[in-house]
Amino acid sequence: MEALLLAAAAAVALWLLLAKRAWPPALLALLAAAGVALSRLPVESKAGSPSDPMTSERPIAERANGYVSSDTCRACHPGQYSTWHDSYHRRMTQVVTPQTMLADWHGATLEVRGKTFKLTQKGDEYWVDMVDPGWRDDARSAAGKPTASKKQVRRVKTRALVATGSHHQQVFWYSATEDRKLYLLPFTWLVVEKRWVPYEHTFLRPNLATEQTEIWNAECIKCHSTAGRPRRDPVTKKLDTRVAEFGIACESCHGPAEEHVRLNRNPARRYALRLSGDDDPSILNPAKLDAKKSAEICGQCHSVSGMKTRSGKRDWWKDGFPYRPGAELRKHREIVQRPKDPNHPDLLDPTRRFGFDQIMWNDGAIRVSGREYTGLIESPCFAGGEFSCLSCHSMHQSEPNDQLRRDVSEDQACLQCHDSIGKDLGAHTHHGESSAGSRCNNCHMPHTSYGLFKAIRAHKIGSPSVRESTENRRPNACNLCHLDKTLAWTGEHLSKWYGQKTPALDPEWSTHAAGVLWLLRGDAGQRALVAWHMGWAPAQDASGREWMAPLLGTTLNDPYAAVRFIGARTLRGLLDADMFEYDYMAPAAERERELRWIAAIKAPTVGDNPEILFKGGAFDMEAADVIFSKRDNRIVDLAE
Amino acid sequence: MSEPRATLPIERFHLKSGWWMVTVFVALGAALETCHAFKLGFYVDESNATRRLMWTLAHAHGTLLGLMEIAFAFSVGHIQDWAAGSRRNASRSLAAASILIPAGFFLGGLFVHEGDPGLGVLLVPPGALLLFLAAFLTARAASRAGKSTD
Repeated sequence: MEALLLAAAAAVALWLLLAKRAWPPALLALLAAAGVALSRLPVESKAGSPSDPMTSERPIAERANGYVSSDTCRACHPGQYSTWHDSYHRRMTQVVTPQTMLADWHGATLEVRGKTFKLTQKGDEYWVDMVDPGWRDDARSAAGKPTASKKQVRRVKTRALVATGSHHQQVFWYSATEDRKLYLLPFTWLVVEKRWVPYEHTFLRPNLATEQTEIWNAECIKCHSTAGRPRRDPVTKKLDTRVAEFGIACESCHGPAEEHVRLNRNPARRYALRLSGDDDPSILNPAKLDAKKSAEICGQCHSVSGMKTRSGKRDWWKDGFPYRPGAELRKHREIVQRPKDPNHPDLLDPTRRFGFDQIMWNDGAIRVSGREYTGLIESPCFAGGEFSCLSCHSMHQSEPNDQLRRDVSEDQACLQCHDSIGKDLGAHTHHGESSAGSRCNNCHMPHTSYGLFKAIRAHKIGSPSVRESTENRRPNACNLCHLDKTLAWTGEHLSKWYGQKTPALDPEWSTHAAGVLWLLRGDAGQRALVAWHMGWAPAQDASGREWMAPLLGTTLNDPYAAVRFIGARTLRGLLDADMFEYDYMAPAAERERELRWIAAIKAPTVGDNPEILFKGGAFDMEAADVIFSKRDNRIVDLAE
Repeated sequence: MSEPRATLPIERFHLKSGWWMVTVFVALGAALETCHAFKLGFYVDESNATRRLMWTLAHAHGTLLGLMEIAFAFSVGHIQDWAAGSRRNASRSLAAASILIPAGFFLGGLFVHEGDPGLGVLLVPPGALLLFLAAFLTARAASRAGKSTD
């Protein structure tokens, strides 16, 4: 076609040179040629080009099943595209390129479980020299014991093809099979700290006895891509995975847009809709749905959920999730909620109960990050029918971090319904109106979930109480700020201010600060939360900082790497960073040395305060050991 | 030495309007550059890409149409035997197009709706037709000029 047009143009030029008064017909000929050329231009480009040299090894992005990709949306919605493009949702999964690579890949040698991984960059490609993932099976005897010596270890070189994450952490996936299956490189790049750490030590989980094999196509695809389809062959089990788009893109929330794009090529339709003010029925706008359905769109990923039936699971392996935005989420998914009845069979069955204890507090509030919908639907606000994720968050009118609505201040999000409280905020909060104690979310959404080495706000919106800390084991908002106060002190104030009845408390809740008890004898999740709160400015303002370092020192040899990481990070904020050369991944003996000198740090201004274990300005190790001996050593596994 | 030819009102009109248009739309160009310099959100933000495109088109078309007006003013004096009716039509078409096209682009950029310009952009197609008519009438007259003396 191109050659034909070129020849036509040359012929017209020649004619102009040779013929007399040939301008009018020549002009017409040129216009006709231009018209033909324009009509042959493709209306839209196609993604997932087969010329991509890596597409045989990894899942590919393709426009299918009504999905057209964010590139198509961009043409008509540049502003929305831009705000989405800036978001971390977009970068949840990306093809590895020098532009998407955040990690230092230059000659790093990493080791975990006795295996070494050598990283090298060749041009735009990122290679790993590693033990062949298939070697272990080959080298084991029938009894399952290794038979090969170290010399026989088979190594392979493979490329990192896909990356997940970009905000706090980034992990990488490589292919080791003939299909499009992606395996996890067992290391995580910490974006802020700029260092590699073993992947298993980035979650709050016990030291695992066996190596975990993570497969992108089996798990991450569900929420880290748009309309992912594993496409597993039921016989060979081989995968031919496709996605509409890597990362969470426009159509994850607005639904497939092919019909919308087709209809809106007609400008008359666009202007008619605009003039009438009607919504476009060809596309879904979550902001215009009712609160329940709008929240379900977020809930398709931000919930604890499972497939309803075995056939549903089989269908998922073939074609991915059937749920589309605007539909009834529970038709396709079982949203897991903790039963309210303590005698419910699910709670009495130890195998089920264990799951609830791991991911939820006893009141059903979620303990892990990324499952906010499960918390939201437990909230009284949500039951009102008008409250949804979009009451506080916005995908397009927000900063990428937390995505809180720009047009609603943090209190205003609550006061838009609870307006009478706003008229005299101090009377409700009993704190200074401009203080952290008068911010709605600090009391009603305390940071009691864990993820990404930090505490995250609970999305089960409720009022602080002593009972939630005794019966439900969830640290309450008052004591997460007033870390130096007892639970009994909180009970007195809640009783005086709001008429709450304080339940009978164990004596230690009256003699020792709740924060101290959670840090020393709480489970690993509670320890992580308190260690994080000791670095939280409002808690430091309310409780003072001087006494915290020796107590935080106790986290430096915690059996959970994540607790050590958070404790050390908070300590770095409290101490002179140069004095503190602790590495949370260092051998236990080295960590112990750091712990010793930090525990000996004096705080003369604190004097005697048995509630926070201080005697004469020094940390009372003996009293701490008594509490420490009662530590809750239950297994905690908070892995997102 | 021959007497200088008296300029026609139509020449004076297009010369005057041409130079004023160049003045106005060069000033608009400077204003747009200023918007770039100070990164003014209503102009440079990604969400305002349509406004940026429309106003850039208004600036470019306005300036070029100003130059066309000047060229037309000079052409009128050089095209002999141009029938008065045709010349009048060409002149009026060009003058109308010079208003409609840049104004259409500018108004289209004033009120944008995501990827679509405002309704003001509807002024552009009739403007384009009138411009085409003006160009055609002028080209035809230029082609016929002096034909009788050939």
